[in-house]
Amino acid sequence: MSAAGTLPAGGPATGNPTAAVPAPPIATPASVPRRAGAPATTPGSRPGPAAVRALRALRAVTQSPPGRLRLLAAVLTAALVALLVVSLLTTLARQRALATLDGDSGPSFVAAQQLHAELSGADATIARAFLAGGVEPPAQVTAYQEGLAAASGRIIDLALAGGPREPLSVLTAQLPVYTGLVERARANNRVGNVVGGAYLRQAAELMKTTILPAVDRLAAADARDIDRGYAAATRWYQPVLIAAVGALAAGVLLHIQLRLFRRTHRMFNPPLVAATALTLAATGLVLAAFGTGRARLIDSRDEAYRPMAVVAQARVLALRAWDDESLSLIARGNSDALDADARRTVERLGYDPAGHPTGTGVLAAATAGEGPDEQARDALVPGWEAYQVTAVEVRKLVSRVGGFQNAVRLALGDGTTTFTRFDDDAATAFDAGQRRFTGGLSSAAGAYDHLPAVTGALLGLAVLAGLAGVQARINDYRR
Amino acid sequence: MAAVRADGGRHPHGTPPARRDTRPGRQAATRPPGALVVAVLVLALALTAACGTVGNQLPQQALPLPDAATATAAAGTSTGTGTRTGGAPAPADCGDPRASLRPPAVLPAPGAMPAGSHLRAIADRGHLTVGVLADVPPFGYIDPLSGEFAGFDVEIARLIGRAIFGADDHVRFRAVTYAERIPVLLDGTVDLVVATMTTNCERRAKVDFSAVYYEETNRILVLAKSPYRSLADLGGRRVCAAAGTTSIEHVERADPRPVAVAVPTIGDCLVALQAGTVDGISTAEAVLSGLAAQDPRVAIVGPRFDSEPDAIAVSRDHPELTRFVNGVLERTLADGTWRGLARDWLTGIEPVIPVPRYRD
Repeated sequence: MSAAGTLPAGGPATGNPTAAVPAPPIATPASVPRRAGAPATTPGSRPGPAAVRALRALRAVTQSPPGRLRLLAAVLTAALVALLVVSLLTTLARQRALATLDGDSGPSFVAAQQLHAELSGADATIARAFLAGGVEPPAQVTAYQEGLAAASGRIIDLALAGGPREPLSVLTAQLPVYTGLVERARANNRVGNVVGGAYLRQAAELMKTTILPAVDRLAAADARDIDRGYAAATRWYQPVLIAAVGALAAGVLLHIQLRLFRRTHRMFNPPLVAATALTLAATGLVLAAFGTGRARLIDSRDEAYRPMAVVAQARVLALRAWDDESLSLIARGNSDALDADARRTVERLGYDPAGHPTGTGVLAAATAGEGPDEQARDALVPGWEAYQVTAVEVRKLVSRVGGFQNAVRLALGDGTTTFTRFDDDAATAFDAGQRRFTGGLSSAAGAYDHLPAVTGALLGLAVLAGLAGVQARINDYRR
Repeated sequence: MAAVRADGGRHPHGTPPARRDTRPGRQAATRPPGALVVAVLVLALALTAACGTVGNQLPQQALPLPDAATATAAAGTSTGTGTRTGGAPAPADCGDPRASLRPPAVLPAPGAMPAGSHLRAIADRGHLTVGVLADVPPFGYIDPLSGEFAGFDVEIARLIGRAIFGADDHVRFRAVTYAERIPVLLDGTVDLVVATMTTNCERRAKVDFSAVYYEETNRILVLAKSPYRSLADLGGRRVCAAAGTTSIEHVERADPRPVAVAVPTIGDCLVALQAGTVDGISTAEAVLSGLAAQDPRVAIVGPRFDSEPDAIAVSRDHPELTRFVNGVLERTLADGTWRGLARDWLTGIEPVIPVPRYRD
């Protein structure tokens, strides 16, 4: 007790008598005389209006050891409430962002990708049916009609989900024009009018230059929303803020305990220890949940969303190349633009015109990604290559004397079989990725389940324990 | 600092816990602040790395194929340029554009082409490649029911193939658009172009032409119920023709001037007329009759105008091929084959039998 001993006179003289009498060991050290000096100078330098007087009154209250403890209790309560508020607000912000991802932008993105595949599939199918001659194979006409019906339903879903108006209105306005052109093409083809080919080409042109880009705009808007949703669900400052406020609250608790320990020489104040543990537990729990949610989002992005988007792209590219092949055959060589488009498309898939893989490209990227769906995606490369063998052979046959009819026969036979198999595989891989993606979003949201309630309970208990712990010491002064 | 150390020295064992606790704290506070700052920064960095904001942009490979606008624009420009240069008057006077190279006195027999000639090269190759139109009945089109090339031009090409090989099925057809007719000949894709091609001096600067095999006259096609009865009625109206043809040039030069609409194929013109986006189509009468056969609600109207000679285009590098083709044409005109073809394919049109002219 050298500290108390060095300043024997200062404490009792200026301090509160209640503090001095019952607990001599608490009779305060250096701080008390310093504060005694401060009010002495204040009235002289600043003439005191009401605010200053109130401040002086507050100081007077807090100068006493129990007053100071009360102040510390207030600070502790404020810190814990701040921690609770920050935890709840950030958790709610993340839950809201995840709800949007899981219920809105995620499904919309998936729907836009499926819409793209359905529309380009319908376009390619009717072109293939046209290639068969004046009487189209019923199965392909049915597939075309089913594709369009599915696409129409998808457009309704996207509109109900509040998709952007501009691309959706382009779709609803242009799809009837497209089907009208196709039906005119079919009617003319049926009676042997060559103008049918011109109608079909216009329909395909409308699909490629107006309708599908509108679907791409829809998907791009959803992709932007997903990007934003990810950022909103993983803001870096949220855990930093919680850690900081949690550290502050724990610091206040430690300060109080150290102070009491120094005064009372009691090692532990059980309620305060409990409050500290509860505070640390709550902070740790929130931080752990944030970390888990973030990790699950990253998993769902790397193992599901991105592979799924690449598979979707590979599928629409393949459909486009297949469509170009049909239209090129229908145009009978009058098709430099179509052939160039097919070359561009296949090149992006990752193959040169002779069918050799270039090592880069969308198909390679689709199978390169890791993840549980790797197997489904791995089937795409051999599937595509099987089709491509027929495509290269078709091009060879077309440039041969009398090879044209053989080319059409091959395209309608093996070409269609192999492509359909590839397309089915791509659809399967996409569906697997899509399920994993939505599952990942749900499980990321699951990391925050019950978090507000548990945090609230823990921190509420911490406030009660903290106040109880401090109050016990304040009561000591009243004895 | 010194005071603390002295203090610690004085109470090596008996120091109360409170004192012991305060000492390290004071020591830390008096350490250089740099270390603390660095520690805080490292902690902040670690925290940020572990909980940094996660973006989710689509990978490059998942973005849609960039719009083919560049490719389409390039194609559009080339067509447009062709039309525009076509609109200018012929740059060089080549004399009579109808006059071609005189055929040899005796045509080589089928299967016996003279050694070292381009004809021999074609015979050795096993096929003659010919550019024809794919959707312009009755000249060149693909029969939607059989899938085979058919038409007047196609039959002329088959006659030439038969004269070289002595058998059918040695002609390989390449469907061409109007605008492609000269390029495919220049780059060697085809040996001949038989595609209702008007011979004129401007084109002769790039390719050679055979003797005239068909005298084509232009008329206009309108909706049967429309008030338009001639090109003169269509001043300021939209009139369609295929890009890269002499027809579109005539539309551009007509007085009163219509709005010329150039599209890739003549079939697209019929699509536009049926959609009501153009008021008339101007091209060769026989082509118009092919369009009219596909739609009972349209009619060919007005006087014949702009009579133009159609000839077979051949590369300028192979004059012996041009002479051979002229020989085949002369024989075809003389032995009645031509008249038979005209009767079969150009129904309803009074054919003007062409008279070959040569410039030696």
